[in-house]
This record gives sequence, structure tokens and C-alpha cells, in this order.
Amino acid sequence: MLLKLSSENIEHLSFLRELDDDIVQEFASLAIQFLTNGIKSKIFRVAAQKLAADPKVVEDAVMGLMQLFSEAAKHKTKAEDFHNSLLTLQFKDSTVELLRQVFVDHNNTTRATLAQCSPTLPTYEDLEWRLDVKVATRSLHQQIEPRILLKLHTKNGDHNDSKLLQTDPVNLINMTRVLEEALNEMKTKHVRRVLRNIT
Amino acid sequence: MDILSADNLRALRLCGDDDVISDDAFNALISDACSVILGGEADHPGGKICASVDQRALKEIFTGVMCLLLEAGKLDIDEDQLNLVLDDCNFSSSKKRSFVSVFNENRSKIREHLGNIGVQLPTLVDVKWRLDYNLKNSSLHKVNELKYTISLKENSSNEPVEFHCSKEELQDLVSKLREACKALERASQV
Repeated sequence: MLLKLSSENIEHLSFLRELDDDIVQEFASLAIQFLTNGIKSKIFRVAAQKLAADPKVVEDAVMGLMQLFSEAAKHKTKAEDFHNSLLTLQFKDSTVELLRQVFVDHNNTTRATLAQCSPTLPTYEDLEWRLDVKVATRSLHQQIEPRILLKLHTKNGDHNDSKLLQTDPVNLINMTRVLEEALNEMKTKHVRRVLRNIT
Repeated sequence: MDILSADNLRALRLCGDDDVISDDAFNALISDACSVILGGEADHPGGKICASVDQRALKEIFTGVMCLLLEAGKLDIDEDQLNLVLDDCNFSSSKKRSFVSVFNENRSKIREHLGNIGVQLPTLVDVKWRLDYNLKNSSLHKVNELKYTISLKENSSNEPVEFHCSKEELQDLVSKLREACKALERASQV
């Protein structure tokens, strides 16, 4: 499926037509870097000075490349479709080829970055557990009460969190059984049918 | 065995005198003391039977009886040790029998009540799960991934702890829980 580029995007990318391949390569690397780590505006001014160009034009070109790569990653565009979509931009063949290569090399990273932008709950990272027996408290001596301490580690983007919980043996066994049922549900015919038929 | 403060000991020794508090009044008083410990209320401990008892002495005896019941429950003291303490308080045989019988009847309930007082972390009481097949989202098309949403409910009024995990992450979680269950089983067999 070919990419649909907006006229504004095409206009921003037209600046790259006149540039040498090594500069286009640098712009493409910057675009990928900014997609993953955020934009650094200072770099636009420095690049514009070196090329004797307007900083706004340089910024638009890099943002245009960011838009191009992220749209291609979003639609899981194949390499040939990406290549063919660039033909309308009237770039040199070598420029088209190097942009295609950058796209292929960083497609997975770009998709992973975009995946973090979707609405989501924290993701499971790790579970630590500890088995204790409560033998006494200030209010009551001579007890035997088993307690299981659980530390659940989750991650939400860059932010790591951990939550301390306790439970008793009955609830631990129940929780294990319920989550085993959940795992087994994945192997059922219904889920397999959905996976096979809906893409 | 020193389980009572000097003030409580002094107050309980008043029970040794039948003129201060009769057996019937004493029985009503210890019954009310037990129900207060277990969460009830008693505006007039001992009720009408204790109306003739000197109110100041009654209040001190009531406090002493409650302290003795709580300490005996906390330490889980046996009948012999309890009888020694009651001898020290100069209780008559009938009052001793009444106290020991009421305590034995309510021993496990008092201990259960005391066991609920203390440091508690939020306790996990339930778990819910949901399996979704994510087709696409606003940032990414053709996701096509199965994802679990797990919700852990606590006994406090806090919001449940919710998180996503993939099949492999859930397998990891379940294997760790199974390890904990095995450790529990081994410990219970020792």
C-alpha cells in the first residue's frame, strides 16, 4: 500500500532535493533520533548556518522526514511500497535508496516508540515474593499466621513503579489458579479462530 | 505472673469482698466486659444488678476485668496460670469459676479480635483478567497483538492495581506464583 503524503509534507521535503546524499543521510539520522529521544531545536540553527539556509526550512525538512518515517511505520509499509511512494518527490535515485535503507533499518524502533503513544496501562515487569509467618504482635502473642508478601514491578513508558502487597495462602492459591485459567484461554479454538481470520 | 498493673490489681482485689460486689453483679459485669471487647457497647456496665454497687468501685473493677481479659487473651494463658492470678486478686471460688468459664468461652473470639489489630499492608483479595486482541490504535496500525489486562483487588478502598501483560509476561508471573505456592506447601509439611 503506497503512502499518502500531504502537500504540506511534500513541500517540506522538497528542500532535500538539492542536497548531497551525505547531508540527506544526516538529516534522516536526525529525524530517527528526534523520533526516539525528542527534538533539539539548537541543531536546526547549527545545520542552517552550515548550509547557509533558513533555519525554518531546515526544521520543516527534518520534521517532514519524521512525518514520513512515522507514517510508514504506522501503516507497516513494505520497503518496496515506501520506495515507490518516494518517486513522486522527484528525488535522485541514490537519495530514494538511502531513505529506504534508513526506513528499513529503523522501522522496528520507530514502531516501538509509536506503541508507547497509544493509551495503555502500566506493563508488567517482574514479581518478587516472600513467605513470612506472623508469630506475634504487640496486641497478640503466640500466633502462627502465614503471610505472603508480593512486590509487583510495572513500567509505564520511562517511569518504573513498584507496589507492595500482601496476601494469605488461600488468596495466593486462588490467584494462581485464576491466572492459569487466563493463560489456557489463549489456546482455545475461539481465540485461534479470531487470530486466523481477523488481520 | 505479673500481667496486671498495680492499679488494676488493687481494683480487682475489691472483688474479694462480697459486700462490695455480689456474685450476680460480678457475673453481669464480666459478661458486659466481654461484649465490649468484642465490639459491643455498654452504657451501664452490669446493668440494674450493679446499681447498688458503689459506682466508683464499679468503674475501677470494670476496667480491671477488661484489662485482665485482654491480657489473658493476648498471652493465651492456660487455666492454671489464670487461677493463680485470680488467687492473687483474692477472688472467691465462685467468682473464680465464673471468670474462668466466661474467659474460656470467649478466648478464641478475644484472640481473633486482638489479631486484627496491628500493622497491615493492603491485602490482595481478588484477581480479574481480560484478554484483548489489539488490531490498531491512533498511533499504530496493524498491531495484531493479544494482550492481557490484569486487575488485582485489595481489601482497602484503594483503586485496584491494574496492568497489561503479554502471554510471555503472564507465563512469567504465573510461574513465580507457582513457586510461591510450592514453597508454601513445603513449609506447611514441615
